[in-house]
Amino acid sequence: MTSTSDGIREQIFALLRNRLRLRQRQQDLTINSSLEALGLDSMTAIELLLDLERTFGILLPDVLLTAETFRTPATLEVAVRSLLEAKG
Amino acid sequence: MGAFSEIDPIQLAVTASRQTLRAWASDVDARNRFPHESIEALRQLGLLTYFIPRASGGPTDFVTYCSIAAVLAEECLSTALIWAMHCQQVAILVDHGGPEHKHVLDEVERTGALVASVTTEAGKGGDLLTARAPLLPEDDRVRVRRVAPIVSYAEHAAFFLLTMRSAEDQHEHDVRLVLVAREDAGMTVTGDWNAMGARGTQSVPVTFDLVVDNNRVFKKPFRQIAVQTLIPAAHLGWSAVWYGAARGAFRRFVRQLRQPENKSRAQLQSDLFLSRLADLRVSLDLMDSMITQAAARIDSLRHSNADVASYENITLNISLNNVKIAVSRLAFEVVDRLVELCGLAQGYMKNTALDVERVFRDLRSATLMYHNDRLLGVNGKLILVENSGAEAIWRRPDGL
Repeated sequence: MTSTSDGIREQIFALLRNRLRLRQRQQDLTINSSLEALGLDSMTAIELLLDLERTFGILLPDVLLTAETFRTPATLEVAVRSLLEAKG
Repeated sequence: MGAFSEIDPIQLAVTASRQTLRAWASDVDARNRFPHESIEALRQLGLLTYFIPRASGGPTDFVTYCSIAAVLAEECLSTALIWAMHCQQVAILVDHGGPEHKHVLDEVERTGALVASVTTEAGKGGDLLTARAPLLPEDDRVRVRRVAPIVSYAEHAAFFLLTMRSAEDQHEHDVRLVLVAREDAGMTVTGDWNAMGARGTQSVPVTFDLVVDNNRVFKKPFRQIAVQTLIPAAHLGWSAVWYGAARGAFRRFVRQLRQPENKSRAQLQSDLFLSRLADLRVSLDLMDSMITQAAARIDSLRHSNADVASYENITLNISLNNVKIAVSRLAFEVVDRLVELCGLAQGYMKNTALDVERVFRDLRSATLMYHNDRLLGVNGKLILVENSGAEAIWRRPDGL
């Protein structure tokens, strides 16, 4: 895993590992892993959304609530970064 | 089979309920046994084929389904629950079954075979949409090995629809439904059902270990089947049963109030009594409205052949969950308050003409059947993202 200086990616990975119970299932995560293939189901997606908003102090606007945003850790990171930048 | 299509099935249910279910309900409860006589009556009237479309017409809608469930539950909650759960499985077969599942519907029509649901599994915390035990390929077939802590009327069903994880290397939410027939053998009942109420459902623990053909596995992901058919049919069917059981006890109580031999007739002069009585009716009407409104909404989706996405609307799912949550509470509350109004002799004693004591025990299970706490937890999250377009992430393109 490539680390990022601001730790945003690491935080997203930590949230995903926790929500998808990857440690218990001994599965690993890369920046382009398919979240669907890792077991992101409908309810977990909503829980993850709430996790992201709490952790980063952001509100994911309706326009970002798409299957594309929740496709991989990378797409989530793009969304989170864009909201953090807008926040300033 | 009965002349189902020519006669209003609700009227048939009224006949069965008053003539047969009423006669056997106490015995079924006291002897902790399956309601053979009552299910046989439903079979003879053709009511076990509800949801199977017929050339001659006849209703297959949810509003009528709920009305029948309530009418049956007025006299025997266990029989009504068995009927409602069987119909849920029939609806799944009608809506989602392939050609290889058709013979089950033929058997239901020909012999009144019962179809049971197997979704409970140890260790998964009651989550309907997950399954732990995987389907295991074995030669050209598939092994179904599964422990189910609670299977209603397992010893009396001819067919079972089981939720299984799709494969050993798949996630718990990748669930498939598989048809198992009693004659496949390989099912063992491992315990009994000695419960406070709903005793006639005979919901026993079962172990399955058998091999079936691959075509027994439904092609569609279970989540799609659940969202489109099972969840609406289960929430509304169960709710209608609970509402009907409370309504039945209430009506029996009201009927005897004006009887000359009613020793407590004087209480009809009491404003407090009349106000309490009227309050119960408020709760009953609330339940009726919630169930009918939600059932009509599902009917309109079904009539317009709406796609799965329409059933995944978050507001719809919150309201379906709320019907179950509200009715399971209100129905028990009504009977609890009825015990208060009836007093010791009529409300607390066993085997009175009102049967309030049995209905009280029966209805205590309502909040526990698919526990309200779980549904409230789900609704709490859904409410936070309602109207935000979150269906796009809630809904999965592959139906999982």
